[in-house]
Amino acid sequence: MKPLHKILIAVLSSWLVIHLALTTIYATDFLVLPRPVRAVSQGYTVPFFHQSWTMFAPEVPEYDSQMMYRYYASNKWSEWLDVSEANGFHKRHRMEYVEQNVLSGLSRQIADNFYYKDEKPVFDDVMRSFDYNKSLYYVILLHQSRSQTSLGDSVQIAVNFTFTNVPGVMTSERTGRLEFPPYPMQTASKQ
Amino acid sequence: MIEKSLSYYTSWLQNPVDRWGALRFFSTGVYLWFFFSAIAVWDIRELLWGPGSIFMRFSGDSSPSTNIAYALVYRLSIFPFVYYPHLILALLSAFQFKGVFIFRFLTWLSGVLLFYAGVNAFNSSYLLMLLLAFYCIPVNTSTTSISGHIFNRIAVIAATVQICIVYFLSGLYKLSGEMWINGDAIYYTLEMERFSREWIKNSGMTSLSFLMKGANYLILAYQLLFPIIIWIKKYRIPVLIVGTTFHLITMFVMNLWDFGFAMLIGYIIFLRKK
Repeated sequence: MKPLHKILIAVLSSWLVIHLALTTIYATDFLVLPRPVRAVSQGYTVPFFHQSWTMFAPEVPEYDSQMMYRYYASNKWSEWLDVSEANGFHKRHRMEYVEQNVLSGLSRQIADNFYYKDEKPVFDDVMRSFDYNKSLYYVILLHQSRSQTSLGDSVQIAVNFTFTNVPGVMTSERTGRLEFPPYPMQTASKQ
Repeated sequence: MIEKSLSYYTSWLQNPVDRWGALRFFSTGVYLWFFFSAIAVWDIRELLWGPGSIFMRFSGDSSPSTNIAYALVYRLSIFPFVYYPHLILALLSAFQFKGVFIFRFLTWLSGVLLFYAGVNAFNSSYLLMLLLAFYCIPVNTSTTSISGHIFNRIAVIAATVQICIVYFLSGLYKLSGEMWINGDAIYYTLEMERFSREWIKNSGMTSLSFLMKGANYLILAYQLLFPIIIWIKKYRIPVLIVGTTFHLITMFVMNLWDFGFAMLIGYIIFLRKK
């Protein structure tokens, strides 16, 4: 065997072992490992070899959700509109998938940070989050690029939930809606 | 013993790949996947990556590698210089010719840029294909040089181990929740509007507990055992048939076309000449 081939085998094999080890350590964030090990694996893997294998895991959502919006123009509120459908995308279009991905972050925020105080809903923590602002931005930009009508003075988003029945228990469909406070469009134009 | 194993390994690496055309088809499939993935969002490309992108921008650390990967996130005006070349590069990368590795590298790099700038439009199949595209950069099945054989072999090891890792970790993550252990995950998945079809819900299929729980545990077992049983010769084809059926369902029922195709392309690398 030529020395060149020996070197090639040594270099490539070593790289492969190190690469697979570091990327696997990065992907197994449930393992408790020393901080320097995590830092090295993170430094090597992100951003080019970033990976996440948590699709449908650890849990599948027990509800369906849809993002809705309405806007205040010409001194009246529009109807509540489904974000994808109102902008010309059917249920099986890629944009519905995009909407669901944007919405999954907002749903997590609602689950973690939305609460009632003195029987009044408190949105502060959710509305400060990146996920809420991302959802709002998504709705505004999508409407502005696809619709002929202006959003007017304010826009408001809501999430419709349809909860899945527990297996084997037949009950009538349980639905719910969470409406966020209206967002003044002057704020958006200033930003 | 160690010396003997090393000697076997080094001589094995220098031999041509013994998979009948599999590596060739596999690398072609990987790059064509990127081409069709980009075509699939043709009508919304401006919405995803254009100057009026619907995605709120975000930033990463200031390292050079992040600045490269996030280049499109930071500067949407370069979108036409990333998306359109990506399409052409991905198509060219599917072929085998001198210097194709440059096109393949650029396909992978532009894929990274498109992924981060449109992260909400994709799922983990894009990440898997980016890894496989990286491994396939030096693949050349018509090579006669020993160096070429070594690169091919390393690519095969990397891709096969990567697919095993994906299945195993995916199975492990499922075990960390209660739903998959209780056997209810498939029921809840098929009850979700976005991952189901009207006829599935209307057929009453989801009320058949033994079917839902059976499918749940079969998928869990498949993912956890795949890295072992795929290497047992007599089980390889049955395992791939079960997996193909499962991924066809994810494509036709759950509407996860990109994910299904990615995994089916991944299976090609496990095929061998009889």
